[in-house]
Amino acid sequence: MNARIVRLGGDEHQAAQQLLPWLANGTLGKAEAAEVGEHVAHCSACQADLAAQIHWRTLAPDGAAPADVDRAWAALRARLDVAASPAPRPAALQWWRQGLQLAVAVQAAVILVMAFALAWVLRPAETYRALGSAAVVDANAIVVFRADATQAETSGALRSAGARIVGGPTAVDAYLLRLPEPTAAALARLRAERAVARVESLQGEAAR
Amino acid sequence: MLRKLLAPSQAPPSPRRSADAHDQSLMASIVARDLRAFEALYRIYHPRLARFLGLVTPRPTIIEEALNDTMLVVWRRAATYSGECKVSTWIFAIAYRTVLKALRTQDEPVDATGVDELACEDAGPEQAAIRQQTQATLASALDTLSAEQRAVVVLTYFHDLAYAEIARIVDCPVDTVKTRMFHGRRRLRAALHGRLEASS
Repeated sequence: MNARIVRLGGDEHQAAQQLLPWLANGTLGKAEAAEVGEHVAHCSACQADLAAQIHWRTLAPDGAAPADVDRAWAALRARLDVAASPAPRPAALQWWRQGLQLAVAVQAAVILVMAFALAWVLRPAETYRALGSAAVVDANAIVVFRADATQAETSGALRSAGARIVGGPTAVDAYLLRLPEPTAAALARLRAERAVARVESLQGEAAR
Repeated sequence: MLRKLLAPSQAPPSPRRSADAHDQSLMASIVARDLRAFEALYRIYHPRLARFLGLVTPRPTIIEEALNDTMLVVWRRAATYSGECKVSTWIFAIAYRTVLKALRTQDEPVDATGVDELACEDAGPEQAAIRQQTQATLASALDTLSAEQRAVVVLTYFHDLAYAEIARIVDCPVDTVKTRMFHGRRRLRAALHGRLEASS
């Protein structure tokens, strides 16, 4: 055996005794197995103990009879169904949800108006361009993503329209976009994406 | 025999590794909520967990419930499996915590029916009868251990796990595992004294 021998240290017999069960089940590392084995080779007490443990291992009790796997799986599957299906909602809860949806829609509209106002206020003068203001100048659309949109959905929406984000987020979480062709069709494609809450052209006539 | 034992690492490790690779692949699908992958994993682990839980507690009601509770946690928390340990280690750790919790919340006396049934089954061939008797004796001896000692003994002798892996499962230092095993063996030896040797 090529294993480097690890010295058990201290009370060698005691240390070997502690590791005998794992020598018996064959899971000791090479070095430990070599060290314990060296001790066992000349210790009759450990040899007897090891032999007894090897015998015990062959007598694995069956334990209590396990349930039939098909029946057990069916029982668990039923619990998964319960977890997956939504509980019926009382009427009052549905009214509350509808009210909440309306409130969210109104809030989104207000945010969009504020975003436009902000973009208008921050627009650069036509006659002067600083390097840092290039992004705002390049933007030809503004978008608000849904709060629950994932990064993958957001990226997918941008890719489908060939759009890139050139600014934002603004204080109201709107982003400035550069679309290759800010046509009505391109904007409609973006609006159809689940990730997009609102999108509008910043070029007025050009978007039509 | 001794020489064979002293080369434990010569045992082919590939089946375990490939089994874990298969488990990892199933876990990846389960994270993506693939129910068929979960059923496949369930069918792999049902007999292993039933055996483990059945030796940690002889109460059939706890075994069935703890087994499905364990796998329900696997389904619901699959995304939290970090891959730092083997899938089996992660699942057995959940099973261990689940059964300990169940044992602590149920304070009725231990039902030794399973052990009695083992001991009283009709004899077939003589050797089979002797084997059943010795298994029953060992099962009775295991019942004299605490649940924590029993888990370590069962995972070592009947699931062939390394002490480091057991330490992860029972969530304690390896020295504690060694100590539990040492005292567990001592109690087993005392309980089996003169009984197992006579029947072997």
